[in-house]
Amino acid sequence: MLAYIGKRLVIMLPTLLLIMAVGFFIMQLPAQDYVSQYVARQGQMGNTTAMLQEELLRQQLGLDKPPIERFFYWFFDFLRGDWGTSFVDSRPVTTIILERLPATLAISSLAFLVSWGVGIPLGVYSATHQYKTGDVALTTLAFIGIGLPDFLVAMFFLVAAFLASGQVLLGLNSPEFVNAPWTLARILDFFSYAWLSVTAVAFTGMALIMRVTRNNMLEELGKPYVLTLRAKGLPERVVIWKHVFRNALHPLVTMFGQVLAFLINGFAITSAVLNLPTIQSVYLSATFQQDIFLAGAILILIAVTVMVGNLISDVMLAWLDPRVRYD
Amino acid sequence: MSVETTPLISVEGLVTEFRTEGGLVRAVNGIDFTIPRGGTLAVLGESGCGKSVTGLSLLNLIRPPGAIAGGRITYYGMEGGKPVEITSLPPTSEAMRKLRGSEIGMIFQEPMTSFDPLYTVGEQIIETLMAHKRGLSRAAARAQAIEMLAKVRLPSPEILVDRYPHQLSGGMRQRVMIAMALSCGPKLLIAEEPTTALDVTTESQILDLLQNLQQELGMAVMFITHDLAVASEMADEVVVMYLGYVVERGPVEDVLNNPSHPYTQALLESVPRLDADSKERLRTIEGMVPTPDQMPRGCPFHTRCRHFMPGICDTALPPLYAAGPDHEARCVLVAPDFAKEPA
Repeated sequence: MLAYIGKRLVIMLPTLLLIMAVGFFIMQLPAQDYVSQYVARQGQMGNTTAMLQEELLRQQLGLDKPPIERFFYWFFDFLRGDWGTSFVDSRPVTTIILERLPATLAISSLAFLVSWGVGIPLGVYSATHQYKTGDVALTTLAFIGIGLPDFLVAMFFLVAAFLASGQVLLGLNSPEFVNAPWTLARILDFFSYAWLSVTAVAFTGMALIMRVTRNNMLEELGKPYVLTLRAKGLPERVVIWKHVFRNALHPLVTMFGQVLAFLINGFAITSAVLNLPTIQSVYLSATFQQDIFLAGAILILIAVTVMVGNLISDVMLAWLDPRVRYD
Repeated sequence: MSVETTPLISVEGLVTEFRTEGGLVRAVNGIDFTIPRGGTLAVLGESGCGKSVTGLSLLNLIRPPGAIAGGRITYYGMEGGKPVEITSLPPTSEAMRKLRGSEIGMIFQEPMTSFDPLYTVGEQIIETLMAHKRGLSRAAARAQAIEMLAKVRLPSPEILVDRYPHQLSGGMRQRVMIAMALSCGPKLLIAEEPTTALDVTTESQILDLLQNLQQELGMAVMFITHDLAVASEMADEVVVMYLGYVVERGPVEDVLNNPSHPYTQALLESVPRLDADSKERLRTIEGMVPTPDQMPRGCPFHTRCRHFMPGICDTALPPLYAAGPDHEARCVLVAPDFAKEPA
């Protein structure tokens, strides 16, 4: 097993290299770069002198050099831990990411815990009560959750919260707390905002997990071994949880490979819509503004979390299924 | 009735139905039979005739959209001799669960898919033992599981106990299946096509094993099969089923040597024979088994019968007529007064 994990880790390195290269060059593809966007914006605001500084600006930011040269500078700096500086707010990329990491992880891990923690038991209930009232109600709910994107659900909640209390729950804190230290009051304030995004994201996530769990449970329940278990006189609880559920976990574990990436970069549009101070909203704006070092660093972070997540899910599969383990 | 004179299990007028989109389908249509203690009954028929559903009905394992809709199944094997009416127990009840596996065991056709692939075969025997024997420790259950594996003549049972199903061959898996079904000492074993998925040499080994174990443990066996050779080798009595009806029943030599129902006759003729002239074509039964939602009127077999008599066979369901001592067939050709009528 250890050898297997080691092998997988080694394979990750060329994969990561490839992602960095492809990602970097895709960011060079648009005809405009950060500077031309900046100059155009300044021009719109009546600042015509910016046009004269265009080349100088490009030199300062190093954007005048050929892409291949810049890639290698960026690449080796990256390995040394220097992830570059954001063009937009002139701060190190690492600072920006670290600053946004706690809020991102708080929202996404809460959403993850709720969607999986609620979705799985409801999916099992739905499957074991197929076509009964409870299942029909849950299935209806799940279709709504799958059909509506989470940012739309978030906007419904936003409007509902405004109509109910007159509060506009954008962001993750009231204005007076945004730069305050993390006291109990700020934490309470955080939750009074965070419930909205967490519930919206968790609702759609839960709907998906519930459907996947239900479908797999139903598929497993139809298999011949279930009849054997019942014919042996095992209590139904044991049949369901010890046997059927464990067999039905397979696709959920595969999905679990995406969870790490979700924690960093799930619900990007919801983040933008609700103006959440998370990594994904800065990733979106950095991509639009061609703030390439910031966008590139986040891209690599996502790539690493996807690869590590898949490795974890493969290890979990081997633990779960002896047929994988003994191959 | 004293214990000695009662059968082990009796089935009277059993009706098992399934609710489908095309309406209610009767998979089992009022069948009767008994199995004596230690005896062997073969239930014979093509696929779709209701023999598997009959087996599952005995364990009360018919689940929605199916249900036992009528009749009575009575089990007389309980300690103390008190009869238990299986059909009056709810399928999900604790009393029914306790009967399954401990009083009535069952083995299935497909030894590959009949095990949970995620647990060792030992664990699957151990959990059976622990579900039925109060206060049995894990270690003791494991020792008993190894003992059972030895009893079904598996080599090095103490190693096999920790193997997963996919690591065993089909024949070994079926032996484990038998060990598991017999681990709690049931008095009745329902064997549903236990050798159909195996090759011929393995099949005869498994059949020998079952016969030896039956003698050793004194249990009764209900053998569900489509294979006449298997039925004649294993059974004392045979029940031939067609479309949910019993069409013929009797002692196995009688029925197979002297079949009275055209369906049984046709089944026997469609068995390939080694000594037959190779140019002679194998006889098959005309047509297909009608789907249960197109149940023919009258005799269920009349649509495929060589002796079909319009106006007689397609009007009323014939009763079971005596065809010999303890031998009955559901066909007007066997009716005592039939020969007198002009055909």
